[in-house]
Amino acid sequence: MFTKEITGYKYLLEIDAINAVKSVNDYYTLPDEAGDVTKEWVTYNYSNNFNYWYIYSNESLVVILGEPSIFLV
Amino acid sequence: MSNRRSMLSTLNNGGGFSYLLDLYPGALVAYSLRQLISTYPSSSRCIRIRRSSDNAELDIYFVSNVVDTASILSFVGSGDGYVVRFCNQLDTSGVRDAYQSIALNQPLIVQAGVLCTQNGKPTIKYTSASQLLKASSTPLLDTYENTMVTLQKFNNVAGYKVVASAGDTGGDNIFCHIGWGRSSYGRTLYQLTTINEDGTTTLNQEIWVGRSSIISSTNSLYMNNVPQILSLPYVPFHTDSRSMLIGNDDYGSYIDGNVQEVVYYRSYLSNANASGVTLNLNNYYNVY
Repeated sequence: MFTKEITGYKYLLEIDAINAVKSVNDYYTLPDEAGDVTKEWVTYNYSNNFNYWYIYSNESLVVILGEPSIFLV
Repeated sequence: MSNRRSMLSTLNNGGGFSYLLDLYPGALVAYSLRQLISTYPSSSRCIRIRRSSDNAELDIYFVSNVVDTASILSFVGSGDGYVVRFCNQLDTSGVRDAYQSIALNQPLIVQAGVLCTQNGKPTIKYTSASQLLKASSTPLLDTYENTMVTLQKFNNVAGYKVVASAGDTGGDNIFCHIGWGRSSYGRTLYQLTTINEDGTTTLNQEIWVGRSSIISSTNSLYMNNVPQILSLPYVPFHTDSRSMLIGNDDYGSYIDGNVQEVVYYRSYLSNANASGVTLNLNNYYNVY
């Protein structure tokens, strides 16, 4: 099992990750024209090693989610 | 040199553009910013991109067998441009195109108005562990024979890094996975839970040809046409159905660097053909 250190946002409950993603995707609207591939701004992931959910950091998220932290996935 | 080798050398070295997959057919999927097969229709795109200024998207085609960089730069302007779709040149239906529908997970092709390049040629640049292009709608088929051809450059030697993977669950569940296993491991074929590596780290742009055959219990990794001595003589890959991943294993092991070409054969290329493929890439990209 490989583990990695990442910078991002960690959630113990999936519903909290879902709500975080929703708040970001509501903030950043996308054109959604016919043929467009891009559907959302961000998504969340699950750590099989540590049984929590997380979002990778990006400067565009700080205004909504605050400062990220460093943790293992 | 045999007549066939002589002919291939001539085709690879001169006489106009040399289509890799005309010379070495049989690949299952092929992604590149140059045209790899002469029969790829001019109406078929190379990539689709998104610009940062307003998030609009545009299909980009080939011009003279190379991705249309003028259209890319004109569309993106002074901001960033991201690859949202990397087209498989072996199937114009798009079922094995590599996509990314999440904006923050899309790799770059233009950064602050400047085309991303490697050694003078356009490249796709990965700068974040979330960035991934994935062909998930039609998984690769079960296989016992694999050859993965990649052209890449790593921008640092720390941590696990993945150039391309025929495995979509990340971590251990991979069956043909070529990349970098931490700085001390070097060039790596990931197989099952095993890291099979040559122990050499480098930041150079390199052409890799990784092969594995369950039938003949053989694997190999060539770097710039030089066979590397791997840590294990043979470890079988998975043989179940997976998706093609480019630049990341979908588990946060990303290349942190540049990817220009990924071709996957559901067969074990002969030594001669593996060498010929490398020669074809090198003649175009001038890697070594």
